[in-house]
Amino acid sequence: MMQAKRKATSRKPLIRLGLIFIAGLSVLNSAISAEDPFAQGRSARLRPNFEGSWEKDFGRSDKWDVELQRTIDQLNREMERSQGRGDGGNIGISGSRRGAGNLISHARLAELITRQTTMRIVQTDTEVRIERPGDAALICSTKNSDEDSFNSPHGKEYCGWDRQQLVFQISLADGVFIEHRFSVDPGGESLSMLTSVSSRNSLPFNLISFYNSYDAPEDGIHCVQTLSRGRVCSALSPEEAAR
Amino acid sequence: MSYILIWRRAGAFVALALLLASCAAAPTPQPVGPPPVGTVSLVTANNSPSAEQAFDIGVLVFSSQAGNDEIVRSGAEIFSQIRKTETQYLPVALRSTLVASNQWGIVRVLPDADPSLDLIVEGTILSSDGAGLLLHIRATDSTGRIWLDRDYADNARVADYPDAAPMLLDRGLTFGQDPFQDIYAAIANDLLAVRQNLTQAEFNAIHNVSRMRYASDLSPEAFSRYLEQDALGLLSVNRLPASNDPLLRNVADIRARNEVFIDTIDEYYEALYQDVKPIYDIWRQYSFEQVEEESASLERSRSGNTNSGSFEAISQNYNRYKWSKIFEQEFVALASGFVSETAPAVLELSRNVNGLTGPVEEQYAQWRVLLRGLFEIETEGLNTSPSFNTP
Repeated sequence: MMQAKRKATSRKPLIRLGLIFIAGLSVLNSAISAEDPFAQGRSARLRPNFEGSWEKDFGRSDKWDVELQRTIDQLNREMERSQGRGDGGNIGISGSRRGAGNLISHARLAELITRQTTMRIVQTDTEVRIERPGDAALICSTKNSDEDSFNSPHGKEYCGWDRQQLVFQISLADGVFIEHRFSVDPGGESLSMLTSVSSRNSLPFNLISFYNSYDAPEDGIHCVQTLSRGRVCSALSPEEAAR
Repeated sequence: MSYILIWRRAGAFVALALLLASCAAAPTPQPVGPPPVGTVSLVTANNSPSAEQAFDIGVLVFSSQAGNDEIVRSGAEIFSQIRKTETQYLPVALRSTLVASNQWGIVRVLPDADPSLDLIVEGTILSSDGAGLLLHIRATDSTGRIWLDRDYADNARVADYPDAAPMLLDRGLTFGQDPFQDIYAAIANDLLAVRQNLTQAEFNAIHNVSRMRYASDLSPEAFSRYLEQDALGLLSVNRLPASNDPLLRNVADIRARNEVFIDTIDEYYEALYQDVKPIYDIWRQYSFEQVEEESASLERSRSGNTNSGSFEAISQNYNRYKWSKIFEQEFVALASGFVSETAPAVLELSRNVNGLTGPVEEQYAQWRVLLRGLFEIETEGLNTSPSFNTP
């Protein structure tokens, strides 16, 4: 009898853990959906057009330190609720607990990898290529294809389409997981990028960056990659430039 | 229950999901090959063999099973074009090595097997980059006897490449020797070892079968009777036509014309080789450096001692990932440069030869049909049951 009671008691934290985990996932999921302002109301068959030059809208974009504090506050509240007491386990920004420590690292990484103030996106019938200064281009086909992956000993990248969102998921070799979700407004004037950094020891840290379309000046130069002479460029004629 | 415990358990779910995801996306394993051939000295002869003692060899355009599992996105089409160019480039390197050994008769690169030749060498590229080359080589003589049927591997070393990739301001500035010259020398030496073990009777038998196979290819009704196949599928000559046989004289005439055509085809492959070599040398050096850099980068990440989970550690990991991807994207761009620069040479290979049209493989097939037709015209009215001698 005592043994049965002990078993039932020992199961309780596990059940609670499962419920919290599921609840946490649903909260995160709804948070991501809610934070994407452009995801709804478009045909799933047509890919949105991301083409163009984009500059960051700092006024609308998240600030990483503010988001970090907000996430920590949210963590504290959830922890208080889950533990049923109001004083224990408070997590400060000093990050004495491991999970919070990783959260701070993840927040700083999210800031590091979203630092670009401009992006150039080239979109064809077959692929979308997102060029970011100082970082590798993110490239994905317009179809969900098995070939949409990149593998190196340092990490793996997958990309695909989640309805009208273009999603890149990067698993680094050390277990850090990065996700970029791109969506564009129907008018093609505003683009959002939701970047999420997480690992098994930490909550995901989410950062939304907004970009506005702008007209980048045409350089009137046409370049061709060659192996022996590097990039060979020539000036476009006015007719070619017009095309 | 503490917060930490909750997240450890939750972490286990995530870790399991990540593990499953990584298993599903495991890259295709690279083909496992034999040990590298190492440093090989080509066995050469001072004097060329006499016409009676010389074996004529056809080195066929290689096939390729090499993939680029690590570079699949956006560069896939470009890399398949490079693979195709390699199938035409590498056999010329093998042919040149066989010629340089001075141990053989004529050695020609061909798009398809030619029955007039004593020995046909077929190659399959199993893997190829600037750091390693893995080939499967199969050599079969005209009787059907297999001389070689095995894999050859060779690894390039830093010393096989110049200190810096030449920029080709002077297109004559290329490497002196192929970084994988050892693999061709090993193949050539192995072929020579088989030939040296042949008795004179075996040697003559192969020659005679080659002659009769070619004659039979032109006119099966007249010459196939001279050939017979044993239970193992090996061909032998049961008798020979008389040396003054008029049909056989016609065969010899047609064969001479065929040899001219084969020479022309071979020259096209040689021209492709010469045109592509400067670019290919640079390409292989970049490829070598990419493989070396990848290996060094992996080593650095293994020896890293920063605190796991710290911002310094995860940003370092991200940077390694970022640079590996940037390097790959640069590599794809270079591959694109390779394809655009070698395109004219590849197009040249498909130009018309002797009024024939289409890709060189089709022209070769057209030529074979043309020669058969010519033989029929020239032998019209002649008895197709020639007199014979015993071999």
